[in-house]
Amino acid sequence: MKLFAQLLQNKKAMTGLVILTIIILVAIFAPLLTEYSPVKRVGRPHQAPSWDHWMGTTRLGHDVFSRLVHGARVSLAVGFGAGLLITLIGTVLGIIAGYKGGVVDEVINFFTNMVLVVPNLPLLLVLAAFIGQASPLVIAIILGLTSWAWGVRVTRSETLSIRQRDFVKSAEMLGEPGWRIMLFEIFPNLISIVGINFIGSVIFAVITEATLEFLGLGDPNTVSWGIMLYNAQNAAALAVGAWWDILAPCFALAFLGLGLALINFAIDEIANPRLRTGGMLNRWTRMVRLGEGKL
Amino acid sequence: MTRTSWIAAASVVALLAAAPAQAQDASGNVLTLASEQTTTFVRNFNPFGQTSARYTTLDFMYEPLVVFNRLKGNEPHYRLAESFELADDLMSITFVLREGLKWSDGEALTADDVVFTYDYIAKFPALDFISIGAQLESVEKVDERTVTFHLKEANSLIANTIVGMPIIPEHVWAEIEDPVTFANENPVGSGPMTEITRFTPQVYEQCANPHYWDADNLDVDCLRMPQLADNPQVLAALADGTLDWATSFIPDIDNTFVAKDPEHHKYWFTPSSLVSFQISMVTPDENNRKAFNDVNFRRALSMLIDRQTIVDIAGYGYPLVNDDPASLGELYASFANPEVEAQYGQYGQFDLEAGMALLDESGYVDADGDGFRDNPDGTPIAIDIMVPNGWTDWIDAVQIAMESLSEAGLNVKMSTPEAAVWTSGLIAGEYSMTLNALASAANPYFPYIRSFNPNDFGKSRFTAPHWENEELSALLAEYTQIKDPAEAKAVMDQAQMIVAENMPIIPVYNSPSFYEYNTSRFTGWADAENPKYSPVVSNANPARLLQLLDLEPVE
Amino acid sequence: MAFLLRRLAFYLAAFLVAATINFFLPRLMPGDPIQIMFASAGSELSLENLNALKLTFGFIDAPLHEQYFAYLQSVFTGDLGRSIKYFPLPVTELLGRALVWTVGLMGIATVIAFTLGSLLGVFAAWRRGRLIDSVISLTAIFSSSVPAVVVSLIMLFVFGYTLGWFPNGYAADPLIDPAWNWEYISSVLYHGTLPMLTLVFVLMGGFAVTMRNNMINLLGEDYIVMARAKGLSDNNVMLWYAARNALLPTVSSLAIAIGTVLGGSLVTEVVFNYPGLGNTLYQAIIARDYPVIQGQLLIMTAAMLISNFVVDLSYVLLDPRLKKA
Repeated sequence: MKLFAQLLQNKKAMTGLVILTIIILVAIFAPLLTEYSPVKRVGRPHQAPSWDHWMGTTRLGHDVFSRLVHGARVSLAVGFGAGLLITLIGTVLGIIAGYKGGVVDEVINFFTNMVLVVPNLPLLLVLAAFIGQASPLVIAIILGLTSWAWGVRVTRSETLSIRQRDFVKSAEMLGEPGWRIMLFEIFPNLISIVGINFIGSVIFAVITEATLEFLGLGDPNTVSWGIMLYNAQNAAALAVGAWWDILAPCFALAFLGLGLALINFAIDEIANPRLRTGGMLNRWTRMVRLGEGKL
Repeated sequence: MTRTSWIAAASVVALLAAAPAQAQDASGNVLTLASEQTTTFVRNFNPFGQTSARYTTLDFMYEPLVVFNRLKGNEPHYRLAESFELADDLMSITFVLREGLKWSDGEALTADDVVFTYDYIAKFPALDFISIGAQLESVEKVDERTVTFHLKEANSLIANTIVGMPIIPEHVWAEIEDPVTFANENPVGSGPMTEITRFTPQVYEQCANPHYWDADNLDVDCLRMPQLADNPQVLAALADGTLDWATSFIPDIDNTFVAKDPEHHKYWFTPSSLVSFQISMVTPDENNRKAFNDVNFRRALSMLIDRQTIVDIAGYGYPLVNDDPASLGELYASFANPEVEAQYGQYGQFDLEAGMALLDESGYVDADGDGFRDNPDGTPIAIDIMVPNGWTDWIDAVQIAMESLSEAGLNVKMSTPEAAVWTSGLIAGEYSMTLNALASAANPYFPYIRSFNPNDFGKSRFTAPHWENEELSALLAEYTQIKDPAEAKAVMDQAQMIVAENMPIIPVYNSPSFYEYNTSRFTGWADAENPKYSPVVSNANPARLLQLLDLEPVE
Repeated sequence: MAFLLRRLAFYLAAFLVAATINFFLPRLMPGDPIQIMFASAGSELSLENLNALKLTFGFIDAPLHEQYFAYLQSVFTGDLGRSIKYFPLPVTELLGRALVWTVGLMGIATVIAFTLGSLLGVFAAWRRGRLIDSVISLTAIFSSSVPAVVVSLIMLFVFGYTLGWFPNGYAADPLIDPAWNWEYISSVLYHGTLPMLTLVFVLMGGFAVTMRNNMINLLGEDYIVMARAKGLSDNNVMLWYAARNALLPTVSSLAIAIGTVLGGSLVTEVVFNYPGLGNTLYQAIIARDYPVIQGQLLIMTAAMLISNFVVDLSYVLLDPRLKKA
């Protein structure tokens, strides 16, 4: 697709994609990257990084590197899973609200505003606490079910502006059923918005999952970056000087966040060329001066 | 400018929110201690408020009648009372108060106050936090200084229980309409430190009682309690030398605390509550139930628990291993029956081979080829070890135990429900395996009666295993009726043998009572070389009063 | 006017719904606070204590609808009950203490982040295509995609533990009495520096990117070209023409930001042990202190509603096109 091709040319997107790919590959090939099991005691407590243990050991004697690479699986799964759910609900509701208008729009709007008004993290905190040991799957589900509101707003406003365009009007006059119009006429024009929404949701899901687990509301049996932070915090890693225990998951999360954010920014740039920076902007500016589009 | 005015506004609000600032400041010998962790101090000194009152209310503000020294065989230290006597028929006990006792406002402390206190808690049962009311027939004033408690049933151990109830001044409390919500902000007490000279949400100071009967023995002028929210904050205050006396879990204490000032920073951990693995005899899963009710299975489980590693890693080496099949351990060493060790000692030792052999012998082998051991009749065994969410040292302990249990071929996993769900599960017996803690007491009678009394099934989580034994119950009932110590010992010995033989709970370790102290400003501390009493400054240790009186400022 | 009234009606309805959900939430939860207190106190509390506690906290068995109306009544009269953990402290007082710190910390951090971020965004937009634009954009992206918990921990590690430049917790030195003197105020500033920096870093990025994008979308507009043609200085045009108009959509994102603010400071407060609303909620959840949890959710929702209303109000004032409606 045209978008994808443009994405590949964009330096930011490339960097972001490379980062993301590295992390995904690490997650997939985790067992091959380390000889240690992430849940067995393989060393003494809080050993500093060494040739045997590249990132040292945790309080319980687990290998930090092993937990990091295995943990990538859970963090990615929850991130993308929840992100998908959030985007799906948000897009579907947004398109319906924007296209149908009238009562349907009012109702969806009402609920959206309602959900938007409750502060997100405190609500999630209370929910997670009620559920008890929230497994990553449960976290993904509650994230999905509470965070779609922003997406609806954005999608809806875009849908509203597309709705007035000629090709939509002509499709209606030809008698195409509503759902076909929404799916085949409107949706394809929202790809970049949906893309941004999706990546944004993934970032949000990754951050929130890590936060919930850090606060102790996750399932301590799982191996994920958030649980690693939780264990390190409980073992007072910083106070006893075991910096590797807490910094490893920190940097992993930062790295993933960076990758995703770069991709997101790039999509935004491509969709809206005036937002570009650096080399891409120069290229486009040149094109404009040659007669195309508004600066 | 914006930032400063915001902070100023914050300060004003904080000031207004706090009680009116006192004119005098703490001076003289000030002892800085931390006995509770909280995010803000509320001015509540109601001695009946177990969870809401400040932790320096009991013992320091309201002195007990007697302090029993658990470390010296329950030796009594007479405080408000100068003596007590148990009647021969064990149906009553008489306390005699000292002469000339005064409350901190100068009024006399007499038998009237004692009688008033007990009538008061009968009138407001919510105040009776030791359930003493149910055991008393009546409380009688014999003369100005003498009170007799008449019991409903003979009980040789009643003195230990009675002294747990603080005595309150009649002339103050008679007028209080709702003592349950009464915050007692300006307390009138009988202990060494009763005057609140400063109170803010971040710190409060409690200074000497002007009319204290034992003032000659007291060298500390004021107590200062800074607000500390959690273990890392206590550690920070200990490490920089602010605190003189604390009771907190400190990770890697030799490096994080002692190393900062090896000459003055000290600690001494004494064994306290018992942490044990417990399985439910009434577990909902029928197949598990068959295994759990078999003493051989329980013995094998016990041999598969690596207690030392759990203590070293999950507990940082602080707890004391408890491998006593009768679950009493070092704590009750003076009551121990050597026969227990001789006959059943091996079942408390970690021995992977022996454990697996016992399982094999008893028929617990893999019948269906799924890699896990099953019942002798072929039905599967699946154990879910349940511990409260957030209790990290227990979670760590279970994970370590699971390693050896899995290696022995048992199907185990762990779940961490909310503490309330966990508690309800234990109370109802609806769990398969769990870790459970039981408070330490002065006499092994108490842990036994709390854990194995069928009358308490379904009421508290201490009877979680739902295991009972007729002979044992009879022995325990007999125990409190005996006055002769030799006879009592014989009964307790027998009780231990029954428990050891059946191994209804699998002891792992005794949690440490944390005690950290600083000798740069005060000396006279109890320690390993001089274990005169338990010096832990927590709310549950009345002997802390004795420690306070022994402290002297460094010149 | 009609616009405002409709919004007001919506907010009231939303508040009622929030209060209702608030009422049912703890009742749907497994376990009750007495059991929690019992469990959390380890083995210090005995069976006897439990009975006394139950009597103290009087868990009423009145029919549900009676409890509900009593609850609604108490909410509208401002009585949020008493905290269980800090009995008998009223919930409003407990939250009031924490509110000051959160508003102080978060409020100031948001203002700084908004100002700084917006200025950077404006600057980046004005100088787009140059290196400074790329640098600002990339930094902004990075800061908004790293979890607050990570930033807090790293700040704590580098500046708190390793370099020891700043303290590791508290709002101020606990041994200094709160007072309007330099000793206390400087202690507050000193202790607040790390959490403040963390929050500014985390929030700044979002504002910068939004502002930049808004600005860029505006730059082609005619009135900008006109202003430049008139010979006005670059800065003048940048700030007084472009930025002012880009501000409108940014203001609405500010309202949403307040919600993020209340939640976003939570982790930072927990890591730095700052006695704000976030930390209070966290502690209350752990201790199952229902009255506090309920009170806090309600107050946070109310705050969101009010800030949304204020934004609506400002929209009406700022955007003449809406005044007619």
